[in-house]
Parts: sequence; structure tokens; C-alpha cells
Amino acid sequence: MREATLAAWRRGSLWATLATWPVLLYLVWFVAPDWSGLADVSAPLTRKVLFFHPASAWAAFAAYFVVFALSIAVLNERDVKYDAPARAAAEVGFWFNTVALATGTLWGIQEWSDSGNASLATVYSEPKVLVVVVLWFTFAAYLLLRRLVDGEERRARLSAAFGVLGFLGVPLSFATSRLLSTSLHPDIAGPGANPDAAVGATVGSVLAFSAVAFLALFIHLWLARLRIARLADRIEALETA
Amino acid sequence: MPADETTFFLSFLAVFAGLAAYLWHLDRTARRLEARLATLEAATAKPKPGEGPGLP
Repeated sequence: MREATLAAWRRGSLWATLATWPVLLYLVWFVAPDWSGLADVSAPLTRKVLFFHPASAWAAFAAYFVVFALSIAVLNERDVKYDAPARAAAEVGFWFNTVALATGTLWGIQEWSDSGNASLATVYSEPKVLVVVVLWFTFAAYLLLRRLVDGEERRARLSAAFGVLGFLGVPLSFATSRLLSTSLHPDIAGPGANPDAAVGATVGSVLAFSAVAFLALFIHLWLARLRIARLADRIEALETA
Repeated sequence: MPADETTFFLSFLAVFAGLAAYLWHLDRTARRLEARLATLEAATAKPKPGEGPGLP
């Protein structure tokens, strides 16, 4: 991607992010239902995390898919030009993954305590959460690996192989809660979603909007991180000239 | 079990403080690199004809 195109995309994504986030906050506070007073809802305020937790996980998964696709390109075309965008996507995805884990942990402790399982150990032994924790460590290792390996081409190839393998955690996390009956994690959308966790039209619309807002933020952060990589490359070229 | 309000506040903080910290980190890194690049480009810029010290 050329510098001018990158700058134009970055400006566009910044405006999209600036436009969607205030709207999302308005929808969460004033349009989404107030669950207080319902007998089967023990923590109505915490339930509003629904509009941040899944969207941050989806943004992380989208970022890891970008890493996967660009890593395939690195391995297939033996071209390191795809390496910098892959690294940028991995770093941004890792941040969204951290946010999803933090919000999910807090929500899990609150919601799953109904059945007397209010411990951190219960949350982290839940199959889907466990897969996402493994995913988090995998991409932490991916980012660490890049600092330890010397040689641009060698680093790109090793990271690409790691990126492709690491992405396998994403379909696995979708499958675990759908296939394992022991899973406490509800699935609100997609094939195999729990009927009792299905959301209504209003909640569904706000949830879809939150996915758009997080995706816009992901694109903006990714392009900002890519710009830093380009600047670092230009500095390195000047210093070695 | 923590209170409903506490859990929501901490979750909200995780989303906004986490992402704001990352945005701030990216912005600070970009500014630092831009300043470094400008210094390097100024140092390596070739003087135009007629500029700079003349031959003795």
C-alpha cells in the first residue's frame, strides 16, 4: 500500500471511529433494554458488557484472520512485504484479545456465580475461555518471537508459520462452546447458538452496531501501527545508508 | 461476588482505559519516530548548488 493511499485510509478510518463510538455509547445507555427488575437477571448493569465483550473478541478474531491471510501470503509468495502488516494486525489483535479476556473474566465471575461458581478458577477452566487464554499466550509468543529472531527473511517466515498455526485457536474457540456440553459460555449468534441466549431485535441491532464500531477501531489501530512500521523502516534505511 | 456496579465499572474501564492507553502509546511512538526521521533527513540532505561552504 502506497503512503498516500495509507494516509487516506487512515483518515477515513479515524472519522469512522470518531463517528461510531459516541453513537454506540448512546445506543448502549439509552436504546438497549434496561434489564433491572427482571427476576432471572441477577446483574442487570453488568449485562451491558454484552455490547463490548463479544465485539472486542470479534475484532481480535478479525485481526488474527488478517495475520493468518498475510502469513499464508508470506509463505506462499516468499515475499517479506506482507510481514509488516501481519505483525501490525497481530499486535492490535492481541490488545483486543486482552480487552475481551478482561471483560469476559469480570462478567463470568458475576454471571456464573449464580450456580455457586464465583471463582476465577471456574472462569479459566471453562473450555471456551481456556481456548481464548491459549490464543492470547500464542500471540504474545508470536510478538516475543519477532524480537528474538534475527534476519528479516528468517523472522518473516518463522512468524508466518507461527501466525498460521496460532489462528487455529479462533475456529477452535467457536467450536468448543458449541460442541462441548460442559461449556458455560453462551453462544448468542451464528450456527449452533443457544436458543435461551438468543437476543431480540433491539439488542441484536445494538450488538451489530458495536461490532461495526470495534471493527472500525481495529482498522484505524491497524493502519496507525502500520504507519509506525513504515517510519521505522525509513529510519533504518537512512541509518544504514 | 462483587457488586453489579463494581463489575460493570471495571469492565467499562478495561475497554476504554485499555484501548485509550494503546492509542496513546501508538501516537507517542509515531511522534517520536517522526522527529527522529526529520532529524535524519535534515542531516543527510544534500546541499543545493551554491549553498554550503565554498572550496578554498
